[in-house]
Amino acid sequence: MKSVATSGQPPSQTDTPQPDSQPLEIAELVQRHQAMVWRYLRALGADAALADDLTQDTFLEILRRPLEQYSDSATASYLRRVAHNFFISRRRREARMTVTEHADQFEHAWIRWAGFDAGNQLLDVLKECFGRLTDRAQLALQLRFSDDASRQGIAERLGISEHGAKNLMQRAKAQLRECLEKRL
Amino acid sequence: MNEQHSEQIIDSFLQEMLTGQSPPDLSGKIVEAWEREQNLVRATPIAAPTNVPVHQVASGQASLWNSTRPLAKPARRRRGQPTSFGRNAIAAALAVVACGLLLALGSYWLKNASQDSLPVAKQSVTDSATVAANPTEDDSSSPTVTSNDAQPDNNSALARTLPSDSSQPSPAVAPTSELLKIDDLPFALDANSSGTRAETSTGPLPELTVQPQSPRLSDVEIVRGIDQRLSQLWRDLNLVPAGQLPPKQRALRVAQRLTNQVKAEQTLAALEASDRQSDLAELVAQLTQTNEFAETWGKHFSGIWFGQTSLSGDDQRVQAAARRVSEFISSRQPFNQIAVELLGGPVGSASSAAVEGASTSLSDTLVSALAGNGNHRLVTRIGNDLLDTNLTCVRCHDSNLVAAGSAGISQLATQEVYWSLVALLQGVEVNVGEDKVRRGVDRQLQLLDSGKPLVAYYDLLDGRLQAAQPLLPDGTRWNQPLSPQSELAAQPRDALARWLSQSKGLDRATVNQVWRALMGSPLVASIAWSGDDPVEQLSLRARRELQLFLADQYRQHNHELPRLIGWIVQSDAFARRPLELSQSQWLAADEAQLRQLQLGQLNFAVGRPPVSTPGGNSLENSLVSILKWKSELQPSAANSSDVTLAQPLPSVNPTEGSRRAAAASLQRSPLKSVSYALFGEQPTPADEYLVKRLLASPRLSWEQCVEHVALLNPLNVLNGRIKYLADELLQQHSGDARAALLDLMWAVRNSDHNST
Repeated sequence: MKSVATSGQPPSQTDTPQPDSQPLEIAELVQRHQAMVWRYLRALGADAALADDLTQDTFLEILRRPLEQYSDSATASYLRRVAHNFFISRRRREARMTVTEHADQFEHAWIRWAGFDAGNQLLDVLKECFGRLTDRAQLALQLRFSDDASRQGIAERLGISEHGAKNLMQRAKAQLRECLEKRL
Repeated sequence: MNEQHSEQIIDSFLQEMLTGQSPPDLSGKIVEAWEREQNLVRATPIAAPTNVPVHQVASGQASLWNSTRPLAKPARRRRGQPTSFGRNAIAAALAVVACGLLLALGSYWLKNASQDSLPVAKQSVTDSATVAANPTEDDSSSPTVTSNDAQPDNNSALARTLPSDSSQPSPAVAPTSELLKIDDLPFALDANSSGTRAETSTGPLPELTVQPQSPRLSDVEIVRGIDQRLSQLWRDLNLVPAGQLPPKQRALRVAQRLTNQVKAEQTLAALEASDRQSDLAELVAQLTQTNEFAETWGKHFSGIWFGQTSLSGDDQRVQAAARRVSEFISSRQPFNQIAVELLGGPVGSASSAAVEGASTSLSDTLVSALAGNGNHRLVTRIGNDLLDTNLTCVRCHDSNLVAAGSAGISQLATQEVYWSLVALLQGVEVNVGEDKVRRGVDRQLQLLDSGKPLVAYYDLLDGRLQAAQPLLPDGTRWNQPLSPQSELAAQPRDALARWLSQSKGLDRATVNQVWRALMGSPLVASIAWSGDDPVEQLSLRARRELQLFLADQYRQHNHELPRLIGWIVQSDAFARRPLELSQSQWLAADEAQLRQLQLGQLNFAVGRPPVSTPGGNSLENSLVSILKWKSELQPSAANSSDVTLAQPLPSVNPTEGSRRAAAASLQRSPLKSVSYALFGEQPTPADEYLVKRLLASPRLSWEQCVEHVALLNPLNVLNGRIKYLADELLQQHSGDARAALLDLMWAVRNSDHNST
């Protein structure tokens, strides 16, 4: 579990964010945060192409409306908020209402899992945890996420019923979750 | 934490891992798009604006605008204007059309770009940003653009720097002309003021002048102090106070107001009491010891804090809260400590299962009732109910309203204070379950644990972005002890609760709330303005001074709520008779008489019925009343009584004939309240002043003016229905915005009779 508080002491915001003393280059700003923004948008539900577009829009918006750079995490938080708003606006225009508008809750969940390194650690741990699944479970998830196979297709490939395929994937994801919770 | 969100996030990373579709490197594309945007504008001739207002910050006002921010911004985008995405789309379309030329120009720039050209390019960059960002704005609304920091670029020509830190202002930047003139604000200080609060036409402001603490007075002296101050005010205003109630009726009124019922034993004791004040004091002392007293006032304060929220009065949590407040009052603890329970207690999983009827903390109920959607309702209610300050205005801009023309203001009326409160309350949220029940959640400790900074971003009026720290209203950090002896708060919410419990704002708020409950209207409205009218200025100043006097004594008497209540009910003003004129007399009164009666009621020279519930008629109903009346030329006798006398006609001079005719057509009992006839017939000078300032501002749309007036009562919710009714009002007045806003003002006053 990620934690920066000293155990036994009440957590306190000891580091009042202070503006950076040097301005960031645009390229450096983008390099530092683009992966996080892109992954955040994908987690919200954007496909890859949309995530590309909205990531670009997010940074262009930041460049037009400069802000004081208090810290990486503050900037990242703000970038996510802007990206979230762009995503919601796009979805609304498309009249697609299956969008989470609970930005604060999603932000909290994001920090819990992806932390402050754009999710690189989560990805590494996920790979390890995935490796601990059975071959069948791995195959099921591979078919589901990589090949975008239907449940029926997965069931046929594995020689089990659809219900069995569903259960298999649910158990696999539960195991992954448990493994992630132990390590993150 | 929401499980669906967690699953969503893990799934997305799973997909990335299994598909190998990792985040692409978009830096080249983004920089290129940015360059393209800048080049596009550079290549597009920009007509020199012919009439661009040059705005200067008035002297003494720089602190309001954080003048160290180097980068100027265009005017704040108003509703309905293109979003940034829309602007991008327009810019992209232009880029396609001029693609070939731009590529040639771009390669020429890349070859020959040098340090000398960059400062010029930077200025053009900002100019182009303005045009690209706001292609539909006309020149008159586009302020002059200033240059960015002219810092030499030591890197490649493609690099651009973000604005520098405010601690390193560039010497090459001329004093900005981008900042908004303070008069553009709806409620700038008057032109004849020097800009400092102490020099406004109303004279020195008590809260801002250093005053020696008044000594702790006895109960008798305090009651005498109330009487003397009000008597002086009545003399100054040439008011003849209404007659006093005889002792028996006075005692009955005391018993009713303190316990909400007349018990036989108290009645008997009251009837047998003599005329001497000491017996009245004894009666008060007896009544304040009863369970009925605690129950009555527990319900009253519970109604203030939890009324007109997302929890209904039938909600078991609200009922439990009323019981808890009653218990608190019975326990005779200093009443200011209730703020710690109200805001600093357990919330969410730390609190009991509320909906099933088990007891719950006051904080849990408050958060469940008001949190969510950015916590703006929660912040506004904290301001109104616990700080005696209407914070609705300062969400969007610093407010000089409460300073201009008012005697004694809250020093908290700045945008920064508002958003610091928002930052302090980050992590305080509400979940709505499948059963549609709102449940408060507190994630502050988790946020602190994760190291996430509690920062709230907000827009200044000129479009610049500002970050607010989680500071207490007086500017101190939340994680500092309030005093050397006090403990460190574990989390910002706790710190805020403790701070509130010690603040003078809470004392003033309590005095106002008690006064309102007993006397029918607050001593001083949370937004109080008096305009240029000397009578209103005098009245407001005197009432404010009385409020401060009572708040100070209340504090010195260890925040004993029963004692505060006792002072007021023993005062001379409490014993004044209410108005008992027939409606014909009301309607036949001339303007001067109406004005005197209005002043009499406003300054407690005549009695008023008590407030049984904090909320009165809704704003919607009041607006419907106006519209119904205005749609009929002659109100018929068949109309309901609440329609007939809702006669706000600021655009039409009231005539004696019309009032008498209306009176003659009615066969109803005498009016109990002045407000229908008075506020209906003529707006007060203060109302005229407010509406005039609103309409004089070039930055406020009609909808924003409506919002300003409606939210003078922070309990109002400006929903689509209210906006629709306000638009109907404007139509009925044939587009006369002044008349429509005055009608709306009347509706706000009569929607909750005693809030403004």
